[in-house]
Amino acid sequence: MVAHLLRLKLTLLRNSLRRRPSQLIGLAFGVLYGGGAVATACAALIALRFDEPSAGISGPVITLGGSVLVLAWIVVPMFAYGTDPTLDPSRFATYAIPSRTLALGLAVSALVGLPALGTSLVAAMSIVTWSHSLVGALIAAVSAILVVATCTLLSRVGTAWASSLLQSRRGRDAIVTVTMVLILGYIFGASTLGGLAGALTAARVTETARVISWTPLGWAWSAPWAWAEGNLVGALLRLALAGLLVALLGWAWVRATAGIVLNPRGLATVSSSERVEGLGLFGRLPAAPVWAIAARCLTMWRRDPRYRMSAVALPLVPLILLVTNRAWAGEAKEVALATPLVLAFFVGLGPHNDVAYDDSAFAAHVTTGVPGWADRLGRLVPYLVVLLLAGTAYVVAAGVMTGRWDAIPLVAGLTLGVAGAGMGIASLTSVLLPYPVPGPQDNPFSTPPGSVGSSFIAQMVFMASDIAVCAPGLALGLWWLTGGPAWARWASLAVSVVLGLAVLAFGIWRGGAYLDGNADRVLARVNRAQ
Amino acid sequence: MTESPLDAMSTPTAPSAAGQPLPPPTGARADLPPPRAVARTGEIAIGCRGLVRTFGQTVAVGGLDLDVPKGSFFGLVGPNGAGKTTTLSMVTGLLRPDSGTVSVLGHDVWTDPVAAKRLLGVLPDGLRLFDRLTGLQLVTYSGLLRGMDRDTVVSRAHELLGALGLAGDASALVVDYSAGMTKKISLACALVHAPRVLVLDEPFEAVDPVSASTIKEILDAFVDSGGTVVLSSHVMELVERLCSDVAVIAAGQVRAVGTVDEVRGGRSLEERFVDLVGGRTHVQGLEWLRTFSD
Repeated sequence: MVAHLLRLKLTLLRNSLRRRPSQLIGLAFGVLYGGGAVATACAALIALRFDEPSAGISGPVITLGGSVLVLAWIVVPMFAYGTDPTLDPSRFATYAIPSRTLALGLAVSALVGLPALGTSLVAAMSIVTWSHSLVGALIAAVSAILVVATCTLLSRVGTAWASSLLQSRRGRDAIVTVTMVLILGYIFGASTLGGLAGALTAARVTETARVISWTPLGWAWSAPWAWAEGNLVGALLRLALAGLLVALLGWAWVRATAGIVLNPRGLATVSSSERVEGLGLFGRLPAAPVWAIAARCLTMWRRDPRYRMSAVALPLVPLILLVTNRAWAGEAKEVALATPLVLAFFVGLGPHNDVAYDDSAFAAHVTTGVPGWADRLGRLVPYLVVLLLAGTAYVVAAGVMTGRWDAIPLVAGLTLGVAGAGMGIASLTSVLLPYPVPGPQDNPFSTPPGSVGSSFIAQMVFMASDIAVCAPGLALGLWWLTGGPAWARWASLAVSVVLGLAVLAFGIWRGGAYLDGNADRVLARVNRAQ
Repeated sequence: MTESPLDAMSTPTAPSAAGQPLPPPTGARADLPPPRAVARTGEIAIGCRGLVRTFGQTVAVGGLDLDVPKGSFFGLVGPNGAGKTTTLSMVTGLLRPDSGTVSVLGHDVWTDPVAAKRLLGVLPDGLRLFDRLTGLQLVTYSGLLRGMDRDTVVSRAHELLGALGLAGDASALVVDYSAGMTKKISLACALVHAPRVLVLDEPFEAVDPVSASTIKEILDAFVDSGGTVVLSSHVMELVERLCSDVAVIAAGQVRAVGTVDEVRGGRSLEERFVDLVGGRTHVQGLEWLRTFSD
């Protein structure tokens, strides 16, 4: 059965590449991009072989770096790329496969993929680092296996758990709470680090690594280090703990799989029998295509789990910068002036792949022949609302925290400019470079296979254009803030506002014109059934 | 919009009252349902010329010519994979033909899309809806996208939901609808702007018999007041009873086209269809299916 599922995964991957050769380009990009990072890490691990094993930097570096890698396996799927849905347990619900076998097969087939391949390579290379002695290499080999198992299971369990949470109102509240706790934890961590930053020495790093080595993130990675220091008991204890963690995660994954197989639809259903009387926003906004689209998007933000995440996260993300700065409360308090700009950036990034979220429902816009500009503008309205409300709040907050009220008009102008430029570019990329996203019924933490590369290209294009447009205004503003001439302030204000609004208008106009002539092509690209 | 066919919906006339059935051709079976009579003006509602569409190596539609007379109730039948959905998608602006032209009442769909789409009401098959909206919101959305004013949209939406038996579920989310209810709400979306030409891909699939007869009644009234309906279906009896004209397509080509009587030529449409399309396989083997494996 395990071999079957593995073969299925490989066949699906091959067929999807054959179906859409463009994915191959994306995959090549992914290999180049991720491959570079993996190669660097592997080279570093080999170089560390020549380090003094007991008192050198190998142990702390591998423990800290490895812990970050494990953390990335939880965080990245949840907030960025998601997990692969081709082998979602719910798809096997109608087959009579024991859930334990299924869970094992799915976990093993999760190893097929670039992130798992890269992690395995890095973990295997750490054996080289510890190959001073046979026992050390053996311990490193066991820890490498445990690391790979921990990573793949962790991402599977984490996303299964989080997506089941997102389905209920209580779960959504829980996620908001967790986000808030994370932010508070980050403040605490940042202020501690801020205190340490003055004395960033090897001793400090080693001390931190030693603490991390006793947390679940570091157990497996630090076992060879303990042996190298002559602490066999510590090494074995850490390996045992890491093994226990894998067993625990495996148990949780079997439980999650069994739960999904027994109730495959449970993941996707909205709180059933939800009823909404009347027209909602469709009755309140003006009766015109633009406003109808705006009303539809705003309604989806509330009811579609894929939008809910960003609806919650979008206004909260800049808080991180604001509060971190509060914690540092030192020399560079002007950094808080950038808070509204962080919001503006995300407001611009938000709609950069908006059409893809419609999936084939976008056909309604094609058959009704709605004007392209109305489609473009209507979809921006929710983001404009966030910009108006949260943007104003953050501009005021930045003024209060820094006391630099003289800079506030400039900050407000830059916010408008950055958001406008982003939304304008997004209005183009969402019709020109749409990339696959999970459907409304899918796990919101999943990524259609082979889409990582195309999403990467679209995001790179967006970022490069956004930076190019915003750089002149931001540079002038920074110059004035750091002691440049007075005219730089007004030049910055004028340049960003004019450029931002011009790009916004251009994006809506050209994106709309493209849609008027090529709506069918956009539909073909976002229709996942094809 | 005032002279639109839908406005006459409230006073439907029985299809049989519209004309006397023709005497059956000699040697014809006597049990065939009488063909539907329609007023013919000689105008063309939908004209396809040399439509070609390929997907990679597969030719879905290969040089298809088809004229749908204005005022007809036109059935498009064909086996699975014949190119029905591909053809209808090219007619409605959802899929660009590799070559060939489509016009709706004289407006080219691909060079003058705004005018052509205004005349069309479309029920696509196999595409998603904005299903996180309620039924009422979805129909309202379709109307507003067409630039209609809200009072008209809302009153028509309520009327349509009532007629289609969805009034009780107007405030439920479309994602919670059954397959048949989803079909009906899509039909309501296609009708709300009172189009001249309705293009319906499998409108009766998954619809229960009671709703099906309601839909038939609505479409009958639409045709009786001068509208044109094109629908695709696998169910020959349904096309035979409902349609005035029929086209049989297979492998991306029109095999036969004309009034229902012309095409069936005195036999049942199903017999004629199997003749035209051919390729009926006789079930051999599968004996193991009679011995259960538990």
